[in-house]
Amino acid sequence: MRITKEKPVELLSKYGLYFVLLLLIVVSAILSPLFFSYSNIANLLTYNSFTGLLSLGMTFVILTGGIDLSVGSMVGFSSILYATMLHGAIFTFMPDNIFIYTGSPQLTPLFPQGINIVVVFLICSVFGFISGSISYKFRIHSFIVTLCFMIFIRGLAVSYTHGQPLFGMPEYINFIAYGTFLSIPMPAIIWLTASVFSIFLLRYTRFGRGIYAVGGDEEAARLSGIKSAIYRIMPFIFSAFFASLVGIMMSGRMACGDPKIAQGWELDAIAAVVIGGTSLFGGRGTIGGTVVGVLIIGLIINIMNLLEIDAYPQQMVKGVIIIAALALHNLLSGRRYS
Amino acid sequence: MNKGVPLLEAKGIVKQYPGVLALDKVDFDVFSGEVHCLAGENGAGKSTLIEIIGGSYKKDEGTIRINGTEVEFASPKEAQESGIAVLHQELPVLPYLSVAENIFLARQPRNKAGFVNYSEMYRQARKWLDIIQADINPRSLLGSLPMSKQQLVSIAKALSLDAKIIIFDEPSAVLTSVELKRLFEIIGSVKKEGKGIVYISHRLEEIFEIGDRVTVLRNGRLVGTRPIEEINRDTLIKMLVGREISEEVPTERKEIEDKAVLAVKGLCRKGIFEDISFTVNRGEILGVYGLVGAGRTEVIRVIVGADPLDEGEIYIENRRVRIKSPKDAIKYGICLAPEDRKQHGLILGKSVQENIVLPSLHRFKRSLFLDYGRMRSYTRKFVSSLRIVTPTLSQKVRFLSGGNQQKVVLAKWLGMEMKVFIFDEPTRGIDIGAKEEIRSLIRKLAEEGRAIIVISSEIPEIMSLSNRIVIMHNGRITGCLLREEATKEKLIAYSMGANHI
Ligand SMILES: Nc1ncnc2c1ncn2[C@@H]1O[C@H](COP(=O)(O)OP(=O)(O)OP(=O)(O)O)[C@@H](O)[C@H]1O
Ligand SMILES: [Mg+2]
Repeated sequence: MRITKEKPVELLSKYGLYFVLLLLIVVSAILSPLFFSYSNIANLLTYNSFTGLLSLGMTFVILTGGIDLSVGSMVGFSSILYATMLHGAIFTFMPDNIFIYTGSPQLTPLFPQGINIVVVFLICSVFGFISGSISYKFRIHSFIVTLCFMIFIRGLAVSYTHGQPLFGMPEYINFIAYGTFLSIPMPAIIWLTASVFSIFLLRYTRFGRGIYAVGGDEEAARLSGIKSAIYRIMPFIFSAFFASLVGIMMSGRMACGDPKIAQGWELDAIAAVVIGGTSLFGGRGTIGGTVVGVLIIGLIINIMNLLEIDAYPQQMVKGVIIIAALALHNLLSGRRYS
Repeated sequence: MNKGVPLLEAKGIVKQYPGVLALDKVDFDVFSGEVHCLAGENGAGKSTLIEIIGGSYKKDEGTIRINGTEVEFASPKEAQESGIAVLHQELPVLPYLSVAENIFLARQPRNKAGFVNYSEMYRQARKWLDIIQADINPRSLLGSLPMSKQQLVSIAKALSLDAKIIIFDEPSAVLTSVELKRLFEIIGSVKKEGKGIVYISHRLEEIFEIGDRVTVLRNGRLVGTRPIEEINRDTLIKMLVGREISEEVPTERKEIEDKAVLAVKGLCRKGIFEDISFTVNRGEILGVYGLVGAGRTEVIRVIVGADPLDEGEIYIENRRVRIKSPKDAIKYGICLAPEDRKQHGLILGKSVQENIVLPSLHRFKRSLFLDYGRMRSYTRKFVSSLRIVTPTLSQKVRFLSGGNQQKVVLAKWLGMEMKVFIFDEPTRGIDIGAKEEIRSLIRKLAEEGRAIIVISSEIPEIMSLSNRIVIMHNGRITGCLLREEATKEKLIAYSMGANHI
């Protein structure tokens, strides 16, 4: 009986997000005839694919009731780590007086080309594993653990080269960063593929379902025979992995490794996840929502760019809109069973 | 009757919590094809024992054998794999997952490629729900179901585990008679399949109805295990409480004044209930009887402002009021001790005392400060009259047994100064000794001139408490009886929808 009664409300809260997205697209199209141009759409997708990838990992983490503040630092770290490896080392302290191999094409990669990327993935994933494990084992909320990791990893990244960028990237990275496939930009393809993969993982594997269960109520999950450790730790590994992927893509786009990039990106990722309807208490949310969340934020910025609003007022608008979106969402969905 | 090796044998189980010896060398066994009831007052250690058997808690001492081989469970999962299914007292449910998924958590049916096969999962869930004749959509979110339906889902889950031993920890606490009857039929049939069943309940009639043997615990110690034929109600009560208690002697009370405190007219909430009208007078206890799903709780939720009202009027002392939120209700002097007490009534991380005094804090003001001494004696009064088992008044409520948590919530409401008290299933999950105590506290409130509404699914309870009984069926009032006219047969007939008998 109760179910039929709630249908309209549920529908609205379920699809309201898509409705907002549609609305924003219409508004953009009205505001500027350039909106539907190929280059605008391609840019929109490319720029958002970085936050998009970060927010995928973040969705996994938030679904289990955690949060990962270290992803921005992880992007910077993986970027500089990758660049250093291309120059033949995993760790180099640069003497103060020597200024960078600026633009040096002399790459002496540590490992055969593709392997370097894999090693970056591995090292970053290990960091994810460590932060997840500390949070799980010692029962410290991941907010604190990853806050410390955020500071630690950024410090590590910056120590590599005393904060200097390291130039020189191989050809194939260019393709990942700037290439297109069927005239879709590569970053967008990577983002959307990873999203589809994540949707599938969450919906169609026991592992994915376990994430919802552990995030919903760890004790209930335990009594049903689920061991929570893996579900609490894996999301941090995913999150670190996606961050390192973004780091490498960013290096390609800038043609250098830069330890200082992506500061504050973790907040954009969290905002997108939350706008996408994922509960910060865990157990509820979808990747589809997150993708839409990323696009909503991206579109709002795009509209402001089209309206030629300055960067700082843009930030103000963004802050207001995120709160408004959440308030609206909660009003529509009610807090019936929370 | 019990021959051979028991399916399950627990020997000398000891479990110590900080400040509480929950189990002290307890022996317990279950044979194939029997229903072994476990009884004892709130806090006696029943749940602790079965949680240990089910692998969720670790024992300090003792051995557990399954079919004669000693086992050591490190997790509920291992116990499940050894054929033990536990239906927990505190339903561990995931409200945001579907019914089917709650049933098949961590063992969802998969297709050949190893991916979760949803249609198969819904089909199988449907099958188990049909077996227990539960009219529940496997796709709906568990959290959208009322408590009793959630309990049915848990029962379906326990059956679907295909275990050799099924343990039910107070399943009847949230079921009504029809569902309970169905549960007993199911227990009867799995018993015939040679499974062993452990059944915990505070209702003696249930124990005599389905039990083959009964084991009684008191204060963590084994009082004894007896075949059901060898005992009767009185001996069992003696084993349970170790003292005499008087049961169900409703004293005649003075005439009820004809002064309406709460009156509702034509209440309606679309699709849930309609045309609900009744009055509660000063000093009167109005019983509301009905099967689960009859809409009793829903009507109450509207009266206390938890749900919006579509049509109808509410009067307090003949003045029309609009109640839009629980806060309004309290302002008008209406309070509700809800059915789902764990969620709505308790702050688990706070102490027994803090929980009990919370709604009446203003009474303990002494100029700017709170009078802790009086707060303590006020709490102590309830702790002893309701026999709340707790090592100290500052024990966190989280660590109390299920029934003792219920008592804390009730103590909290019983002490409030309100005009209208609404109790939704006040004695659910509470042992027989304390049940009578709670009823007499409710009667005392009435004698003090409050208006009281009691929702109960237990016919004896509703008959012994109420002055008048309203019966609901499918969202409508089908009958209203004075206590003198009420009989068990009439209540059941009205609750099944009969309009006139
Ligand atoms: N986690 C815990 N920490 C401390 N004490 C506990 C804990 N769990 C239970 N206890 C105590 O152990 C005792 C036995 O509790 P248990 O839950 O087994 O009782 P029960 O017989 O199931 O009672 P009920 O009928 O109320 O469900 C109680 O006194 C309770 O306060
Ligand atoms: Mg118990």
